[in-house]
Amino acid sequence: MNTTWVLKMAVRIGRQRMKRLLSFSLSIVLGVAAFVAIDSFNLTIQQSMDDESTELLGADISFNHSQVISDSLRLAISAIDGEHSEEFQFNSMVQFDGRGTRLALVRALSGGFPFYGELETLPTSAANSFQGKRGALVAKTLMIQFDLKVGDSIQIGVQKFEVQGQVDKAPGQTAMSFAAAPPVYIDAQYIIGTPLLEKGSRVKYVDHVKLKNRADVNDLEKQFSKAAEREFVTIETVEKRKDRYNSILGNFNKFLAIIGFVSILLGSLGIASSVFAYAKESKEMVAVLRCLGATGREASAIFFVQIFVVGIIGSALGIVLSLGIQYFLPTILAFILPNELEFTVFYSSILTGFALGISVTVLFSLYPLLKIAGVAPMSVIRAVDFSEVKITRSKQLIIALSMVVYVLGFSFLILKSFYSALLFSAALGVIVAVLYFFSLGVMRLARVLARRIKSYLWRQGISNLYRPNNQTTTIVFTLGMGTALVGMLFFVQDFLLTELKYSGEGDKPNMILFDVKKDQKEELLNFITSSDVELKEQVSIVTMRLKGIKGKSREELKSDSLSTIPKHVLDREYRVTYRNELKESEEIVAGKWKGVHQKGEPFEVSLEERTAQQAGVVVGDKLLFSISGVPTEVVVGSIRKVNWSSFTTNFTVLFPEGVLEKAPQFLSYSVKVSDVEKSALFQRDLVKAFPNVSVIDLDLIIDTVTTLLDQVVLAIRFLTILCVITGLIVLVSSVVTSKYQRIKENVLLRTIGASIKQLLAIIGIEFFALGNIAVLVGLVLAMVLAWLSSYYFLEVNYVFNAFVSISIYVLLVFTVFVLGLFLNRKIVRRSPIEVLREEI
Amino acid sequence: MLSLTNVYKSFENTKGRVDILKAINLQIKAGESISIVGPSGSGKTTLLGICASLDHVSSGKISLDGKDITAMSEDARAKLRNEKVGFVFQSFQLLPTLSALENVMVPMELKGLRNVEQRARELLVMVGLEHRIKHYPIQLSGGEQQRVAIARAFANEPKILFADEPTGNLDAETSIYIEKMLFDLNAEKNTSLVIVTHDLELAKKTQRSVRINNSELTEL
Repeated sequence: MNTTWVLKMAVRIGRQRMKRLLSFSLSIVLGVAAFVAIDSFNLTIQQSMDDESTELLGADISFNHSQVISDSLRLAISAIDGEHSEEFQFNSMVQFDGRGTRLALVRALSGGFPFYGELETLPTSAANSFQGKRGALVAKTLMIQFDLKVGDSIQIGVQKFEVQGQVDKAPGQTAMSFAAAPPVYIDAQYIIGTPLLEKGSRVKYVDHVKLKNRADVNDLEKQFSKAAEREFVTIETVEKRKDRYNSILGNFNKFLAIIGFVSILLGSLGIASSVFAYAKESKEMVAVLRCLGATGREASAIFFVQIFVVGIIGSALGIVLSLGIQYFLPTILAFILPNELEFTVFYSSILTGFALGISVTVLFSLYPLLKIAGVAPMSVIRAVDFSEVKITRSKQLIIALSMVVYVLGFSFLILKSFYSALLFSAALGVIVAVLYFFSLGVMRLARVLARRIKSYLWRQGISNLYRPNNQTTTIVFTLGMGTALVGMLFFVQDFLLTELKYSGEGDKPNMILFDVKKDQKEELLNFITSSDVELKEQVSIVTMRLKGIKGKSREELKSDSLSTIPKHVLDREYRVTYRNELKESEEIVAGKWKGVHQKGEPFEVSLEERTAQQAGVVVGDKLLFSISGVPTEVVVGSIRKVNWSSFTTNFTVLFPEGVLEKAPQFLSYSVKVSDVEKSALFQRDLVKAFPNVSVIDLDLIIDTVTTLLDQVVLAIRFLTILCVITGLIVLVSSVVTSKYQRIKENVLLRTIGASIKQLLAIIGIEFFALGNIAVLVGLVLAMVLAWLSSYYFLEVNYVFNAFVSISIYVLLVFTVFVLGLFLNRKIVRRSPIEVLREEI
Repeated sequence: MLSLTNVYKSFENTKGRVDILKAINLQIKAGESISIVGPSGSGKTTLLGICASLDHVSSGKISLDGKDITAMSEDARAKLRNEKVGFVFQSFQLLPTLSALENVMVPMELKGLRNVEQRARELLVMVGLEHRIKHYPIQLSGGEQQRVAIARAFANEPKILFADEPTGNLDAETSIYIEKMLFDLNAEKNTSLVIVTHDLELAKKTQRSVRINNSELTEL
């Protein structure tokens, strides 16, 4: 091959078509930008966690437990060589200087925790001054909510504390955890021995240790693992916490990276269609070159070089744009990050993005490039349609396989799991197939419809959907896919919020009182009645631990490498209730529910469906529980489906009446308070009269969850919108691609007497139809995807929201319509004679 | 220079085999000028394509400058076209994104020659376009474009030049000028000249004329 000549020709042909070639590259700019930004962001998090890993825990090792442990284990932990700090964690009602009460996470500290990192407070000195006196550090959200200032007092139980400052950040806590459970830090010495710690198993005891020799951490973990296992003590190390963050953030980042990848793929579809049109127009030129002695490979190589440069330019622009996105991404996602991130540029991300942009551009241009190689020299004297230029089946197969392998390979790189990559690629394949066949159907329908339309303008506009060089498939693909992603996100967010709102509305309880002692029952019921609050439900709660499943002990199951039972099923503390009937939120799916235990019969319990699945048990299987240290064998009598989002007290294990009545238990009450003011007064008086009782204000939780959901959605929406913008860029690129064809048509129409108004009407009708088709199919796909998510992952009811659907629909169709008119405004105004002179 | 022996070109359609060219035998000597005439659809263009190694035959043998082109690979044919064949088309077929000079340089560059710009300039001077060297095809008149095409056709000093209706898109005055240029160069460079045309006046100016009708070739 004459490489020098190929390069020269690529430049000569390209310089006259620079604008056009550059417009191709725009299609991948956003995709590359999103991908590089996300990848870089991911690496920044990892680096930050490596650099500041000790701050994730604040200690070298921590031992957490919520029930009394043996003296031997307690002594062994306290004998660990290093600095110890004790912490008591529990949720409690806190009174804020008479301005209101709210459930908060109380963290009572003794000793020097955190050993690594620091409590970020305002004023800064408060981090050290709150201990040693009755001082408290209060989370920023609470400070704002109750308008607190330094020096104000708060009350936890009957203990009063003076606010020393506001706490903004603590080692290992994200902004999200601060928002979900705002903490109050106090000195532990003022609550030890008070009724506050009599909250049964709901107080978490933590022993934080700063080791004398940090290298001992793994040995210590091993040394304590058996005893910890036996006594339900959780050992936390920096590595473990890092893994946990990595796993949560990793999934989030994978999701974002997939969006970036989809955006690149959408752009590449745009490139593929643009290059196809470009190749088609260039076939005469190729035929001449073939006549002059160029081989098919040389002719094709000229265009390959141009497309390669397009890929380089598009990727480079994408990388520049990614720097901007990278700058903002940590701010947008700050609420889920454990550390503050600094803007860092990772060359590996840039290189990957660059390679991805170029390779995807070239790969998706292979088909038209191979067609160019097949243009026969004979077509210089006898015109041959580009569609008649054949590519051998084997080459077509190689291209298709390359694309599949590419998508599969890259999704594997992102998802790190072959199964997930296969699932993602298959789902993408299904969506692509649906969009492709839909666009074919649309073109067929347009052909049939156009014949029946009497109005010339409408007929011409609709005919443009199937005429040669039409952009229907490209636009339906790219815009449809973008709409599907954005639409799905809006729908999922919407029905999650609807579900939350619905749960708190109407006659349903909006407040739950818990930690009520059995002997407080009568007094509390009187208090509720006298407070003009409606009692909805009373529930008894007994705590227990699982000791065995189907005759195998918990320890055996945990050491069995083949066991698929998740750790939390075996380790968690079960809060169980008993009653004789099922609730509205429950439905038996297997076995039979017996509400009252008959003497002499085995204890038949009802197990929640998912827990039963995870534990691998069916009706008739036996479980062994430890209730206050007493081993109790039960039989799975039935399996229930539970609607967890119903915002009432729900349980995984349900006992019948006649078994647990005498076991140690506490009570929980669900009540309905009519308004916010009454709610505040009720909470204030309740905490005064019953300091040990805690209140969950469901309205407040709904508000908090809504805020958090909004933030999560904001981050995802930011990236999914990139997909829609990519779709619109592809639309622009498609219009530019078909510009020359349009000029010819419009000039002909103008020559025979069409007015500019009529030409604009034809274009308007075409783009209005195109917008409608692409957005409608995208919305339908979005609904299907949202329904699948709601059914399989979120387990909430699918609710169709006409307002969201219509808003997305109107906005996008209007954008496509206006863009179409705007981009073609100059074309319709070109004078016929000017164009004829140019001999286009 | 060019020899066609018992050449057939046919294709299959639903009704069976259709012969476009039947038992064509033709010999063209070096430096000879010959015209191929015939009605539309008679197979003139097909014959030109086959002679110029642009298309394949169904059967028969074609040799160009002593080489059997029927057995050649596509790449070998491309090389042969580049080195031994020149083309002039009715619609000029200049590369629109290249200047006149660059259009003329292309065949020489393809051949791998270096410093070809001077030679291209000389060729453009030869066709009287020294003042239009940097112009693009769109900026040239039909006659000027055809002159660039002639300069390009002679760039590699071909042994044979194929001209497909070379004056078909030109006015009478320009046609005469272009015809003269073609015949002068034919004589000067001893290049065989094959002209496909409807124009019997032009055909008369060639040394020999053949007519193609009903897929068969007859000497006039």
